[in-house]
Amino acid sequence: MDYVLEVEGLSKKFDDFQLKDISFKLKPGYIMGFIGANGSGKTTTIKLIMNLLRRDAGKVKIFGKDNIGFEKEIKDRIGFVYDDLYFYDDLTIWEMKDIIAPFYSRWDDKVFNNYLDEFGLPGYKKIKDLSKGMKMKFSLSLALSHHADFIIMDEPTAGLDPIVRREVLDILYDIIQDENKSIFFSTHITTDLEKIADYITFIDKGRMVFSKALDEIYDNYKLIKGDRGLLEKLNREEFIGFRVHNIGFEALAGVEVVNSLGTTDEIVVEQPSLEDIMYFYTKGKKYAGTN
Amino acid sequence: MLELIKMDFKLNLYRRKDFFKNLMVYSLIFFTLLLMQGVNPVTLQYPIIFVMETSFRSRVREDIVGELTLIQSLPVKRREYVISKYLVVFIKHIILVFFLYLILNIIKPLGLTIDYTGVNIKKIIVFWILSYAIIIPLMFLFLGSGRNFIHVFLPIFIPVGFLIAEEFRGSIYYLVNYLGSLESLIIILVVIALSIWVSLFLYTDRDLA
Repeated sequence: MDYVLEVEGLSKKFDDFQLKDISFKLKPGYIMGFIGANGSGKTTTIKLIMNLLRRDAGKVKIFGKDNIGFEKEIKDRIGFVYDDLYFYDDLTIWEMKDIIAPFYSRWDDKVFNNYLDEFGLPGYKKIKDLSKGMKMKFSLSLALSHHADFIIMDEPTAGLDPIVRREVLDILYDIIQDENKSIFFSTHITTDLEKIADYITFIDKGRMVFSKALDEIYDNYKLIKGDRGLLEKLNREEFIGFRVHNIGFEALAGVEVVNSLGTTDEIVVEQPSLEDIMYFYTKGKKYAGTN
Repeated sequence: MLELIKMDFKLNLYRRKDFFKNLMVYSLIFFTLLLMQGVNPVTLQYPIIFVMETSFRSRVREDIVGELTLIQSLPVKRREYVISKYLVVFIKHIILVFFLYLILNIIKPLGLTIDYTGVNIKKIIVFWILSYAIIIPLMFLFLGSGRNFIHVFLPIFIPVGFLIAEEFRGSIYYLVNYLGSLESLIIILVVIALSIWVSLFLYTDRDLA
């Protein structure tokens, strides 16, 4: 098995939204961050991968097998965490575990109890009495207690305080120390990904922007800053996106474009963050900012 | 499949407070009707609502799509989920029949006047099967708010509808009764198979969103 997840030409049409031609691949032992603005199609893609939505076109292979044809076998090896995952709120943590556990062939009560201890989750507590952070930790405990080889997470850190977020990220980092395990992790909190992701797949308005290694992204994109007069001399069409403000401009550009500008004191070249890249790709060239 | 069936019963067990509350309410209805008119098929329809309540936890406050998203993210084929619903209903009806038999025998020494003349087990079973053959596919058709309507009202309307139809000699029961027992069995099996096929058709390719 070369890839744990292969998505090829995935498309899905709704009345008011279309996901079109999404393709990316994830190797075993790596974390892939899946980024995009709200409404860009991240959750739709994850639902298609999990076969909760039926695709109109394309292929999804998990562990080298079709996600529909081998659904049961595949899901036995997947741990899932969704931002809005439904639980039976009137049940306790232990009762909910008793509902979920028998579905998995490799469920491990010892691992589950260890996570409960580690996360400070009291098993007797009803799910409706758990805080958002505790619910997410519980969800994570369920996802990690059946020796899953692949963890799919949809916005797991959304709405969590920084300490819980960091705890979640530490757990994920520990998981991939086992080189056979992989994580696919959607979020719009890009700083989380800068800490742990190996690959980034970026979609915008239902379309693919890129799917690359994080290092490659940092090598390929630069943020340039200068005064407004300089902007007039440059070819704006070469920028991925730019923003004009009172005293100057900043723009995201490919490294070739930045190199072609040569070295001059007029331009400051910086390393963009993932948030910068997402921002300029999403806003594009139309965004003029403050005049 | 077995896990799905066990899951249903576990939920009943964990929600025993609701379960016993419903049991009290429906028993009260049952006994009231029993005392008013004796046992007849109409009276015996009411426990169906009780089974309905405990088979489909689709009460207004619950998020059906959310529940299905959870279940279908587990190693469960959609086809298994559909068939498990039929099996759960079947098992619960067996428990219900036993429960009714027990009650009728418990109250016997109390000297209550029970009119058994209207009881026709075959008729009741046919009503139940036909009711569920319609209700379950409708459950899979309406995953949103429409489901609550089906959940609350159809278990009452459908059996009553069959009873009215029977009065006009137009019901399927009449046909079943008219034919020999083997033909009746075949008809019932065909109805169940058709109902399962419709449910599978409605749910297997459904978007859960």
